[in-house]
Amino acid sequence: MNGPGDNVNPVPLAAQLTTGEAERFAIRSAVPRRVAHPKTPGEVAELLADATAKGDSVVPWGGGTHQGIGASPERYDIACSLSHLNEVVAYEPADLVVTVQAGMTLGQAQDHLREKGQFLALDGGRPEMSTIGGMLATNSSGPSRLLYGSARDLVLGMQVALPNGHLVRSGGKVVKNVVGYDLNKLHIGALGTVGTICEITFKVHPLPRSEGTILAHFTDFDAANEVAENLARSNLSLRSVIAFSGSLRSAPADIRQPAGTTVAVWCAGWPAAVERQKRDVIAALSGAGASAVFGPNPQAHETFWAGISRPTALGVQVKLASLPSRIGELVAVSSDLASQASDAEADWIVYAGVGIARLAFTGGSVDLIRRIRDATALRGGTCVVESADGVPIDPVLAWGPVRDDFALMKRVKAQFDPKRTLNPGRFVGGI
Amino acid sequence: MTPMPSTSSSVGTSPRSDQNGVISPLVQALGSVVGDANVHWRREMVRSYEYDGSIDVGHPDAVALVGSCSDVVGVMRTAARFGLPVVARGSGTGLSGGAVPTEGGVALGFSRMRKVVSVDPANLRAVVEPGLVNLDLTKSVSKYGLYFAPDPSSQAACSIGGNVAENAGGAHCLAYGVTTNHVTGLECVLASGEVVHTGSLSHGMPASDSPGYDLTGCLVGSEGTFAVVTQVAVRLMPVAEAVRTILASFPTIDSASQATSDIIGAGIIPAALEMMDALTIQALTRAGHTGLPADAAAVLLVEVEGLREGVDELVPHVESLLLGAGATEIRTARTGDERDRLWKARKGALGALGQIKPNYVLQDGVIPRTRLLEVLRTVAEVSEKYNLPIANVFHAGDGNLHPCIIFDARVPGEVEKVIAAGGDILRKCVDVGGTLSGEHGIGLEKQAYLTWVMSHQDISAQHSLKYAFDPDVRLNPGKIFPHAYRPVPQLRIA
Repeated sequence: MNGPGDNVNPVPLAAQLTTGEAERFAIRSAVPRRVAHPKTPGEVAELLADATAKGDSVVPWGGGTHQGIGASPERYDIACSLSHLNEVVAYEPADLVVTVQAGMTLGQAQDHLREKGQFLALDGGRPEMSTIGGMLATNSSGPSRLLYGSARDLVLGMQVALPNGHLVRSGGKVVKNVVGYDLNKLHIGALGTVGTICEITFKVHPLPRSEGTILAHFTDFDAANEVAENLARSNLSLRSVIAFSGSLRSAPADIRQPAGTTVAVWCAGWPAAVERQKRDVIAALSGAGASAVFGPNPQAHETFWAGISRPTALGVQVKLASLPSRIGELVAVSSDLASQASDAEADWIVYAGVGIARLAFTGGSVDLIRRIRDATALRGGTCVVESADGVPIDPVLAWGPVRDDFALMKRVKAQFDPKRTLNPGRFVGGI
Repeated sequence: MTPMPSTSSSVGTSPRSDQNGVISPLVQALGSVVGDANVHWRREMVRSYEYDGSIDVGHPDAVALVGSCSDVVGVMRTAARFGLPVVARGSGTGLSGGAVPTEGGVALGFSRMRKVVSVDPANLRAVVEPGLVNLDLTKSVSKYGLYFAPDPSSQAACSIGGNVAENAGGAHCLAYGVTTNHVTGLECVLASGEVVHTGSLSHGMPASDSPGYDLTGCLVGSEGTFAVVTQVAVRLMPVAEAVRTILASFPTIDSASQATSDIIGAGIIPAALEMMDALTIQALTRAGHTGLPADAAAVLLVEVEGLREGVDELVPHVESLLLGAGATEIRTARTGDERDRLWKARKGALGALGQIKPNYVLQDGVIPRTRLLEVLRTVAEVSEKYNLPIANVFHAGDGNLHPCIIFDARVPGEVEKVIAAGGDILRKCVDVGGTLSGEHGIGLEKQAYLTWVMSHQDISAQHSLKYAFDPDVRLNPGKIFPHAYRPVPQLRIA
């Protein structure tokens, strides 16, 4: 796959081509011609400008944990690894604001913040590998979303490298900002198709004074999901309420059950408030017919929430979204379809109150994914493929059909990336 | 009858009527879209569309009161035929000139689009029309124990559409975020007449995380320059179980600022943390508000809410931090009435300033909380330098300052001094790592300073987004960007 500008002139960037390295950056069967490791945002911008001038395509890379999202790139010239952009640029604990580079992993960021008794309310993914930039580009979220919102609610500012070589800032370092257009929002969830995020300023939160988890086993799927939604929309201000398949592989072995539904509730806040939360939660779960209500030991609380959202390596993982009141129905129908197609039970997890669920299963095929997507659409939801080993994924299968805002999205893409340098063909509608 | 003087300098202006009172083609065309009764063009009828809450004035060619999305489509197409810009207007409470039609054109009024279209309490969602008053939204969902969190001080008058245009904030945004954190989807009309549904209003998709670019997020805060919004899908919140409102008096502004930093630094994020200075208290007392400490240099209004047990636990911590920073008196509202009275004072502060002098300009800068003390000292210095009283009444908890420069516009030279004073204050905000606006927007008021916080390349990227939405630069032109950086209509090769 030779690009139009196979150059004689050396490119002023760190461009390494060691054997086997290109394979590390494969997306399904597509392998880059070369891999670049820019060391600064300026170098990222230069790389993009150079690629655009030559008509090369660029796929930005963080930890690679979410590269299963989207279709394969139409052209794959350069893998641009952001791994060298991994510093804390600025941190002012008294202001509850931190600025980090995009290649830092979520775990590294949390380690820095924990030293000052603070945290970034972004979870999910694989914190030891998923980078901040990648999590934002894919709009990844985890259990804490219920109380703290998603990336768009936490980002204050960004520095982004554009395909024309510009390095631009949007937002700022303060928690309120109406100065110009909110370009931060544009790049979140954009799969890097309109710019490569280099630096992000977040608002952070103080670590809770007290925390605890309540778990409950249910045999009745509907009862479990209903009580989960009730708790999530109450004014208990719970940090997270999830319902998941009894045998979910990312749940600790000692709480798994062969069938049924488990509900987990994350209580957090001031100690007296947490005690009150726990009392009300236990009463609600028992009242809804839980067969068992219990708490993990306090040491297990943190590992439970850190681990529960980890992707389970079951071949296909999809993210379903709908109104919270319908997400249980979506999951029921989809997991039935998935289970029919294979011998193994599907894994699923519902983030109550948010209207998001993840479903993972083996035996994936284009046809099965389509059926799940159609069943989802019938119930007013969306289905996005997050990984699908061995299944050919086109943009419609990956994201669902386009809607009436697609023409506008194309114009946005045309403005920022007219030569389709960034992740061409991977995003909604094959943008 | 003498012909009306030309009052606008817009491109393609058509006079509203000629000297014989014949209705202009523009007015006729608009009338065939929205109905003749819903088009205003006589001077006395368009008067109120010439200004908003800022000091700027403009003159629309005509006003169209739209009643539906298809009305807006028709008006957009009509305006395009006449080569005129379109400026949407909510309640006209904006403070940066966002609704002022400085380049003429068709002003859109939304008094006929004020409905709550649907409420879905189980999902904490509602869909509303843009003309709906912010407080009326909260009132209409209160029976479900829900409310709409963004609460600008003008919430009894300002519209949801206006809130969306300016990404409005309010006192309770400290804990709960601003308008963009509570809007899940939009229906809007582009200058071309194209209707677009974004986010949770994308047809058949009332969900979060709709795949694709976050166009909803791009539209909120775009100050009416991207599209005209005709429907807003909002997120509601459950009313907290318990709330405690504390008024603390301080002998100096410094000690009040210190208390603010101490509270945030202790990891406590109150639902609201507001500051008012002595001048404000004076004005409020003269205006008839009772119960405010007459001799305090500053007061903090701190509100904590949540579960009863949590509030009971948190309040003593807050009180000891307030005392530790030097509070001389702490009063806690014990009843709903007492709480309302405190908030009435805070939200009525601006109106009360009319007791001191007839005019004011409310500035809106944001700074890191840790620089509050320093910036407030600068505000005091600016007041002395220009010999203008400046009252401070603002969202101390999130560093969003509202220095209120009080003056008499009839005095020659005052307005110029006020603008210069405002510029000095904003310069300081930017110098300490803050920015030009926390909630009011750039509009006309601050475009001259935009390059203090944006580079040429930053502005170029801003233009790129603008051109995707409005390549002909038809919507609310002349706003946000200073003249030298105005977006220009994009030539498109057919």
